[in-house]
Amino acid sequence: MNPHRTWPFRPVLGALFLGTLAAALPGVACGGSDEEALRRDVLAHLADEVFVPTINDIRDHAVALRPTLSAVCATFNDSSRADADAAWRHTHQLWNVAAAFTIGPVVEQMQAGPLDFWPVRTDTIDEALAAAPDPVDAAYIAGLGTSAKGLPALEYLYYRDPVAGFDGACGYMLALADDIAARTADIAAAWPDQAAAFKTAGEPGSKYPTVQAAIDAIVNASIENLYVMVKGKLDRPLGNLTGSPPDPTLVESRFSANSLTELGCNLDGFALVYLGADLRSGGAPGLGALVADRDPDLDARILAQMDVARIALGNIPPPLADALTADRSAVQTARDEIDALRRLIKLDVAQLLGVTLSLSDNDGD
Amino acid sequence: MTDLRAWLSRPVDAASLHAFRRLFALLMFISVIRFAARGWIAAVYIDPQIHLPFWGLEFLRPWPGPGMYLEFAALALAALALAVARSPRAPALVFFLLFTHVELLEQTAYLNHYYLVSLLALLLAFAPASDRTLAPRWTLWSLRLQVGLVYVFAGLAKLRGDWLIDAQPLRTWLAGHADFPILGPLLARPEAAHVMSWAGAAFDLTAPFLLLHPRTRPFAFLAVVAFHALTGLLFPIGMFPWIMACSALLFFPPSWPRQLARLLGVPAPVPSDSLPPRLPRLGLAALAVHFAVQLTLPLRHHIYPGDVGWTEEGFRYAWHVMLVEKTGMVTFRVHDPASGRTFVVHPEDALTPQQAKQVAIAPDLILQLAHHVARDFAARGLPGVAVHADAFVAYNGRPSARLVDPDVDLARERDTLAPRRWILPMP
Repeated sequence: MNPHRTWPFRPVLGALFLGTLAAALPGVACGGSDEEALRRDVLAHLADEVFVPTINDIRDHAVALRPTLSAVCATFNDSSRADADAAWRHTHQLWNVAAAFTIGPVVEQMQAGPLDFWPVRTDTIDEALAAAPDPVDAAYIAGLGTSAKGLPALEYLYYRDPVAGFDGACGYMLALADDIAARTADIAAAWPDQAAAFKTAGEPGSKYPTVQAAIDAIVNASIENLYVMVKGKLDRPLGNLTGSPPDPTLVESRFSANSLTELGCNLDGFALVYLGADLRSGGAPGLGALVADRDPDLDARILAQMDVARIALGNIPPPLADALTADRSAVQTARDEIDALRRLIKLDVAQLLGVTLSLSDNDGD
Repeated sequence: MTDLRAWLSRPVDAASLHAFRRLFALLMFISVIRFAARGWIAAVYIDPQIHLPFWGLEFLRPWPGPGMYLEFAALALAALALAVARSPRAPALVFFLLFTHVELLEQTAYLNHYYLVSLLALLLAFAPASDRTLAPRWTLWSLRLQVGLVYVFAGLAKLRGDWLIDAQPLRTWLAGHADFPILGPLLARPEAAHVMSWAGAAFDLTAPFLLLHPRTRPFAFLAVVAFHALTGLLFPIGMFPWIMACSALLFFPPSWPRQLARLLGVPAPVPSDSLPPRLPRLGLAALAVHFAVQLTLPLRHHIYPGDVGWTEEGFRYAWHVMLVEKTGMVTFRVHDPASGRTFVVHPEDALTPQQAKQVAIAPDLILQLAHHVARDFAARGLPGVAVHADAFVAYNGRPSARLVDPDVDLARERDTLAPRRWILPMP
C-alpha cells in the first residue's frame, strides 16, 4: 500500500510544520520580538516619565491651595489673589492633563467625582456653604455630595465675585482645599503600584495579565478623554445634545474663564501619552512609537490631526462661554476636529494595535 | 429516494450519540452557569434601555423582573436533564426553544456558536434514548453533516483576499500576543499570520473529511484539539473551542465509547436492540428542508453587492467565523424640519457598551437604531425628524472610512432584506 495514496496530506502538513518551525526559531532565539521590547519600553516610559510625574505634580500643586487661600483670606490684594489664582489654575490644568490617563487609582478610589464634578451646581454649593459649621471640618466636607466639593466648587466660591472677596466662604474654601489635597495625595500614593503594574504587565500576578491588556487600558483612557472633550465639554454647552441655543452655564470652569486653557490641557495630556514626555515624534516612546513602528502613514495623520485640532481650539476667541454665541462656528469646528482625532484613535489606532475597546468582556464568535 | 431512506435508516451503534449528547449537555450547563456568573444576564437582557431584536422578530422582548434569571435557570436544568435523562427528546426540545428564544432577543449578542448550539440541540432531540444500543444512521449523520457544514462554510468564507493575501484579521490580532507564553515571539512575526491564515483555511475546508477517514482521523482530531485550544487561548471566544472539540468526536466510529470502555476495562455490552424504525417520508422531507436551509443561508450574501464583512448583509447565520476585525463609531444628527432644530445623538447614551460596539459596525443595526431615535423624538413631541448617521468603520486593517451615506435620512429608509443602497462602498 502506498502511504502517499492513502494519506495525501502528509507532505502538506509536514511542509506546514517545517515552515512554522523555521519561522519560529529566529524569533525564539532572539528571546522576544523588537516590537515586544518597544511595547514594554512604552509602558515603562509612560508610567515613570508621564503618569507618575503628572500625578505627583497635581498633588504638589493641590498642597499649595491652602496656604495661598489662607493668605488671600487674610489679606485680599492683587498679590495674594494672584497666588491663589495660580494655585487653583495649575492644579485644575494638571488635572485636565491627567484626564488623558484616567486609569488605576483615580478610578479605583472613585476620586473623579469628588474632585471634579461639573457643570457646577451653584445652588448645591450655596446650600452647603449656608449649612456649614464654624469652623468647617473635614467630616462635614466628607459628608457632602460630590457636587458641593472638589475643584469646581472651589472655583465657584473663589471666582464668583472677584471684587468683593469671599463673603464668609473662607472656612469652607480652606476645608475644600484640604479635602482636595488629601484626595490627590491618596491618588499619588497609589500610583507607584499602578506604575509597577504597567511595567510588570504580562508577568504572573500582575494587574495586567498581558502587555496588550496594559496597552488597551492606556488607549481606552485616551479615547475616553477625547470623548469627554467632544461630548461633555463642547457638544453640551453648544446645545448640540438638546437642539437648544448654546448654554454658557454648561461650560467647564466658566467662573475662572479657564475653559479653553483646560481643553488645551486635555490635548496636552493626549500628546504626552502619544508622544511621550519630551512631546517629540521619534523621541521618548509614547503610544505613537508603536503606531509609527507599524504604520508610519497613520502616525503622520495623527500628528497632523493633533495640530489641526489644536489650531482649531486656538481659533476660538476666549472665553469659551462667550464664544459659544459670538463665534459658534469656531467652537463647532474645534469640536469636529477633536472628534476626528478621536476617530483616528478609536478606530485606526485601536485596530492597528489590536486593542480591545473597553466596552465589553463578552465572548466573540 | 427509497434507497436513501433505507441507507439513512440503517442501524448504527448509538454509543457515540449517547456520549456526545452527555458531553454537549454538560458543556451547555457550564456555559449557562458561566454566562450567569459573569453577570451577562443583566448586562445583555436586563440592563439595556432598549433592545435590538432580529429582523422580523421585533415582537420578542426579554421577560420583565426576574424572568430572565428564571429562563436561564430553566436552561441550566434543561441542560442537566439532557445529560442524564433516558430520552433526550423533551430536554433537548426545551433547551433548544429556551436557548433560541434567548439568542433571538438581542441581535447585538449574536454569536456564531450560539447559533450552532441551537442547531445541535434541535438535532439532538432526535437522538436515541439511553437504553437503546442502536440508532438509525440519520441521527448520527445529521449531526456530522451539521458540524461539517460549519467547518466547510467557515473555510469557504476564508477564501478571500483579506484572509489569504493580507492575512487579516489574524495579522492584527496576533501582533497583540507577542507576550504569549513560548509562542509569543513566533506569533508576532508577520509571516506567522500568513502561515496561520492559510493553515486555518486548509484546516476548516478539510477537517470534517479528515475526521471521517480512519487513517487521518487521529491526526485530524489532534489538529482539531490543538487548533481550538490555541484559538481559545488567544481569543475571547468563550465555549466555542470546547463545543467544536466535543463535536469532532461525532466523526469517530459510532462505537468509540464502547471501545474506550473496553480499553479501560469497563464492561461494554454489544449492541443488541431491535432494529430502529425506518425514517418516515415526512422525516426525510424535514431533514431535506433543514439542510437545504443550512446550505442556502451561508451563501445568501452573494446576492448582495459589496464585501459581506463590510456591509454585513447576509453575514449572520453563515459561519463567517473570526473573519472580521471591525471597530466603529457612530453619531446621529437629528433634524426637526418644523422647528429647524438640530440635535447630536451619541448612541452610547442609550445603549450598553456591548450594544454600542456592535451597532457602530453593522449597517442594519445603525438603521434599526435610527428608527428608534426617530420614534423617541416623536414620543417627545417632535414627529417627522430626519435622522442622519455619521458612521465610520475601520475594517481588517484598512483606514477608517464612512460606512453610511451621511446625506440619507435613515428615518425614511425601510428595514427590509433588500440591498441597502445607503451603505457606502468599502474603501
